[in-house]
Amino acid sequence: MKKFLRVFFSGCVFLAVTLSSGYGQNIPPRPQQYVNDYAGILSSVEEQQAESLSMELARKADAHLIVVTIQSARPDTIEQYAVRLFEQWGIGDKRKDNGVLLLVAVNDREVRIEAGYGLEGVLTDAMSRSIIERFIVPAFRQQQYGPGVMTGTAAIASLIAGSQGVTVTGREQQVAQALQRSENGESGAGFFIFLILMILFILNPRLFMYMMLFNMLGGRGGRGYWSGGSSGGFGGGFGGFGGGMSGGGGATGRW
Amino acid sequence: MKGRHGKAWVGILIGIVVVLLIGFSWYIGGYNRAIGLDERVDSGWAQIENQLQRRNDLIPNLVNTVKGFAQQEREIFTEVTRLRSQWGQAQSREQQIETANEMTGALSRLLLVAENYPQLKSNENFLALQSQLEGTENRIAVERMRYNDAVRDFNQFRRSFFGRFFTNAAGVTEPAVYFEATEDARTTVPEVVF
Repeated sequence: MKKFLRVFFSGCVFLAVTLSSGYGQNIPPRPQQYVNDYAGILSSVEEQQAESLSMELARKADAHLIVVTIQSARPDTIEQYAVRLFEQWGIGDKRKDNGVLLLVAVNDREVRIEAGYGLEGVLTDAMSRSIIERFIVPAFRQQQYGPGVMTGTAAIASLIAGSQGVTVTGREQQVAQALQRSENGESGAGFFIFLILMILFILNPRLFMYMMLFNMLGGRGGRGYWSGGSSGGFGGGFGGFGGGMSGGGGATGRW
Repeated sequence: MKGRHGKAWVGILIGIVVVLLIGFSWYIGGYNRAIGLDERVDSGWAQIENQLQRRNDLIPNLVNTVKGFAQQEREIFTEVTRLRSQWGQAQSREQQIETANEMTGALSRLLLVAENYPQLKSNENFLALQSQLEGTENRIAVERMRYNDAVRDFNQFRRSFFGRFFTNAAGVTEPAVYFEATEDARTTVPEVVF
């Protein structure tokens, strides 16, 4: 009877685990830092630099850049894996969805930038693609994984920082800014909107205030029913995981 | 004598109130759950619609670009245009899903046609549109997955013991429809490489 019970319970546990995981491989448990080198391709110095860059970005631009390296995403595609990991960890803030994931699958020779809903406007598919093509893939082709990840994170960080009107330190900052300049279509539009808002403010401050208020209140109407991550971060300190979501925005690159 | 009767009445009354309270909160809980699940299905569908709309907005530009290099492929152009207007007229969710799936097939055929025109393939505009289309397809896939999860949760609840009672109470009598990917879409999923 005891044996039967033991078998029965382990069977239940097994069933629960397989059912809850659904399909695909298991996502690692939610970590406590921005850079998670499961594939072991970064040196400790690179890891620290990327970590401090992410922390700086979170502090200055209110965006959470998570770096993850894995051996392989199979049997999922890298896109599926990225979305699942994003949702399970809850990258970024639940209301703002201001997270971004840089995922490297070394053995699959694939890299993906997955932008949270809130960053899709800044980190468009086209921008993600060009960051991958220009700063990440060339280095990866020569097995220079560390430098590729570093330039990639620097490019993403300064792009987001630039959209907020702040700067972040980083070795490749100039390079990234060059990227931003060369694709100034969108930042041009941003400036244009800013200009219009300024004019509105000068002409009719009250309407401007109403608009801002309205914008703040109703900014995120469409979505938000998905209560994927229930936790609201880790209380104090690290706030990279607050239940943010992504919807497949970003780009994938292969080398 | 009188005291004993009084006590029994109080006890029965408390019992009835407790049972009523439990029943009431059970009803509220089930009702709210039905509403919540149904709402999740609807908001999931709204997300899919957003992305399908976004894809439809890309189409005129894409068709015009391809047309510039491959006028003779009229068939595919007319089909894509027809499906685009059909989307606007679709009444039910089933119809919308069907049209969307046909559109996925037509678009992948359009991109396949483009393979035959080297000049088109190196056209800057076309490449940009192609990558936008890829991004949109990926978003559709993500939202479809979440929508189907929501549909599964709702239908599961609806089929559970008191589920139908609650969904009917909430005014949702029909089961939610899954968004199944088409055969073409399934076969174009990249194969696993070892």
